[in-house]
Amino acid sequence: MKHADYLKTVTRAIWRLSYAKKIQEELLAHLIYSEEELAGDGWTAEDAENEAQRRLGDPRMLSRVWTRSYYSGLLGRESLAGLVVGVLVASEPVWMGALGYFSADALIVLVIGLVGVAFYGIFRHWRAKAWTAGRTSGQAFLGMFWVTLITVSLLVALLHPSVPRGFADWYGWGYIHHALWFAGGLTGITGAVWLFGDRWHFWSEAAR
Amino acid sequence: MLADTLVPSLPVLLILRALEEGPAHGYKIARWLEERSGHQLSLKEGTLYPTLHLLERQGLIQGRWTDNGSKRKVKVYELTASGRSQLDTDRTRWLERIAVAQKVLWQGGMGT
Repeated sequence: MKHADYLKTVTRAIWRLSYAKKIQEELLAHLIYSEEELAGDGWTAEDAENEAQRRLGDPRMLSRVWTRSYYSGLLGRESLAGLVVGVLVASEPVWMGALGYFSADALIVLVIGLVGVAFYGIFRHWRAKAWTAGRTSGQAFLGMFWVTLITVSLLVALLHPSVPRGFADWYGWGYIHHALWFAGGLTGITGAVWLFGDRWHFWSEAAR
Repeated sequence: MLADTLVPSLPVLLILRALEEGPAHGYKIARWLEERSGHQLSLKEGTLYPTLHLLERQGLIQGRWTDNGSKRKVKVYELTASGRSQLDTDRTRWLERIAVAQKVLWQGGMGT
């Protein structure tokens, strides 16, 4: 693999081009130093190039390291978003009440779907990078969402052991149906995005 | 205090120590450590750079781009005042904790 391709793979999840370029420049200097040293030890140019990359590390693994390093703030925000959505879904019968849970679920899933399509679909420049970063941030979001949904559901059941007036659907199958419908929809959308990202040829099979 | 937080991160400590010798780029830091340790210690080259960027964001080191006398641009890092102070603190903590750990590891059994 040429250094340029190697470095593109390493920085494929860094959305800000200026950051990605700086990281590429810094790592390129490292690879060249390494190559020069190997060449001095008698390695051929091609072998030195491959060995320098091998010593720096697997580009896909490094891509994940950089993603975690640069998106720790993003992951924190994704987890927070998962927490908020989890609370909203688990407490939805409280705030939607007589409007009916199916319409509220459909509305939220629709909004999240549209935001996802806009984010991944419209900003073409970011697409390839979005799949890699999206997987990590999606995991953070879904993980926190499920934990919150289950915890808040249990708390709701514990704190309100009797059915409040006007919310007959809060308990029993109505509530479970509502939570599963929403959580299933959300997980399905996120899963489809990951799967699509993995199979779509934004980069070659070898580089994935 | 948890046992796994007793000792400051060794890679971070070693990077700060390397930069105490003077400004250096990533490759030089990695080679310095290998040579200084008689090839007994090495930093994972791939994870060295994310650590350097993290330390830079924390204000412990500062990076600047130089031409290094050639056409190649290199990012050279140097310790900040805060980094120097962190190194002094961590170096002392490291020695203290290691002494405690040695005592625990090498002294007699539990007794009854």
